Amino acid sequence: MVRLLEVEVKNLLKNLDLPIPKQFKLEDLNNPSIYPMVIKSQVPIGGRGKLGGIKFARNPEEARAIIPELNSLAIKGYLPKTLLLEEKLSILKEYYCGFLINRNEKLINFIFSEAGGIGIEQVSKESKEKIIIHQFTTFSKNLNELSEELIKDIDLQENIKNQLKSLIVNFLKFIRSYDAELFEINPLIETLNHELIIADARMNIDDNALFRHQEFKKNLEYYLNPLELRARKLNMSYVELDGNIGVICNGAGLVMGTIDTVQSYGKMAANFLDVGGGADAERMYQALNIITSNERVQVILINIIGGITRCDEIAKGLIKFLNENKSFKFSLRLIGTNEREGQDLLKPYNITIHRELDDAIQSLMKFLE
Amino acid sequence: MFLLNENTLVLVQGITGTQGRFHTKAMLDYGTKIVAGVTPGKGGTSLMNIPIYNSVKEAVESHPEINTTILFVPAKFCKNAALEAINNQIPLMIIITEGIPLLDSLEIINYASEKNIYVIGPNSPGIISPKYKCKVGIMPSHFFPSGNVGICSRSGTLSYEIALSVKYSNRGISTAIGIGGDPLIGPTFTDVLEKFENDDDTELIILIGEIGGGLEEASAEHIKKLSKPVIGFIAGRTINVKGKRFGHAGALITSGGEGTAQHKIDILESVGVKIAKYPTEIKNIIKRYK
Repeated sequence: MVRLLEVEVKNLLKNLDLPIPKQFKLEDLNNPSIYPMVIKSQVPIGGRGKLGGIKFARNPEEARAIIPELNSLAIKGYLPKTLLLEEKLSILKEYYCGFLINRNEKLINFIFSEAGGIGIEQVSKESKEKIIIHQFTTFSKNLNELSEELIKDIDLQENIKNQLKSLIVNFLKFIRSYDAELFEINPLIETLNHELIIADARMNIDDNALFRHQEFKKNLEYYLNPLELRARKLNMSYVELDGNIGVICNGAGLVMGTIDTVQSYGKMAANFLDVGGGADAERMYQALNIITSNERVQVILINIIGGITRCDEIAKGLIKFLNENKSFKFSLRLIGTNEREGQDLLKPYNITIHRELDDAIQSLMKFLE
Repeated sequence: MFLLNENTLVLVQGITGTQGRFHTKAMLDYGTKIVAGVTPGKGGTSLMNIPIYNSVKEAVESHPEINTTILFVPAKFCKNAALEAINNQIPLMIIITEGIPLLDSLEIINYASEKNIYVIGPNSPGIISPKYKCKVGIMPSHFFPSGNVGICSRSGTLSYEIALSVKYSNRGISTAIGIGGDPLIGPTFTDVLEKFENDDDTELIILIGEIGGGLEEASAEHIKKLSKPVIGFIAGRTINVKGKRFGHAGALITSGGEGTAQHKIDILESVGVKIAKYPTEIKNIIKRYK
């Protein structure tokens, strides 16, 4: 998933003319009419309010003190990409409004509560009666009708309920057009003038749908380290772990199962790397380069069971890597689709091809002794 | 019988792509009866003597006997291909394609269930039933000798590893099914376990799960009611990194700690599932069962 920054979500909502707080620029700081103002750290992670990432300024002096402070405050390891300067709203009530894909039941949960704000997680655990959940499976019906259905059990004044209904129609369109796997407004504020305003917004875009939203591909850089990013660009999945055995397999489950097996020998994997289904020679070669860029890696364990992936392609990628890195110690298990072709390619290089994972790991252990 | 049998007659959607072509040949070699293929724009041609059509509608009109379809269609186009198959009432659909957007999967799965179509996947390696010499999928078939062990798995290649363990312990497979590594999939463990319970060819069931989601936990209540023993393996027991996605879109431990392997293992053990610590340990465990 790709989590957008609050300011990115709000700018998308603003384009749809949905109610968000007024935003200010740094050059507005001397204008007295913008105070009191809220200054919010833009980090791709939740819970920043409790960690000091949201501050209020009553005048330019306070704002000038807060801005550098927030800019240098890392929240759960993330420094802000930017700061969001907004009007401080006059709050009558705080609501929670969220949409979340429910994997087990294969539908979308619409969640609403009159007890929104930073305590919502507590509310969802302790006072379940304050949470209203409605489920739906499709956007293909009339969105006005769907919106009406979703809010029918919510007890609000008519004026507020009408505003909510039209907001939800827009949210549904929004979710569909941006492939949001999570969209959350918390809080949705009712001002003293009885207007609903989106005070904070969160949206996670589905990774798999990024081909429809090229403009957000760059957001991956917020979370992934350079090696993870490099793997991603090649359609591979790489995550760094704590050990010193570099691991390459095909298929996410097999990588995890291989890492678990390595651990049963008392050793730790240095990484998770799934070359992906149907990897060709070039991808295998790049995978080897990526894992060996991690300085902790001492030896490599390759565990490939060809299904949609072909052993001959894997062999070609390995040969290309070995021609450039003769000294790297590795152990290879290579079976499945086109395994004979793979064996033939590797024969001139005098490489042992193990048929079983345990044999491959045991031979790797010898390098580590 | 479990979804596939000697009367399974298959349509291949996306038959002329690299993967479609390669695995069509592998399925034919194994004995699967492939009746037709679809690739828009390639209608009227043929591949390995299999006639190709421009649309599912044309294929089904010429071959009304088709009762199963397998999709190798690229993720971008897969939703439309799947909806087309559903509209043409092919009762069993197996989606191999990886990387389909969640909202597309949601639409496919819910529309299929409305129309009474059984969808396996997306991101599934398919199904193989060795007794009937029928494979609608991408698994290397020589790892799957015939026998009475049923395998259901979220991961393709890991199920091949475990099928090998079954083979090395001189047992064989009744049916192996990959339910798919995506967060949103058609039948879940619960549905598939029910099918194995009612399958006369299956005596012992192996469930292969992994970190992320709650499908393994959700199946526990159902496992209590089964008369057949269940062996399990949950991949990622030694991985404790939160908020990172491990390959499969579905394999993610949330920052709240949901989806850890240990949580799944505890729940499954509490309903009598014997859990292997690593895949090849299945070899030792399986000896205790007939």
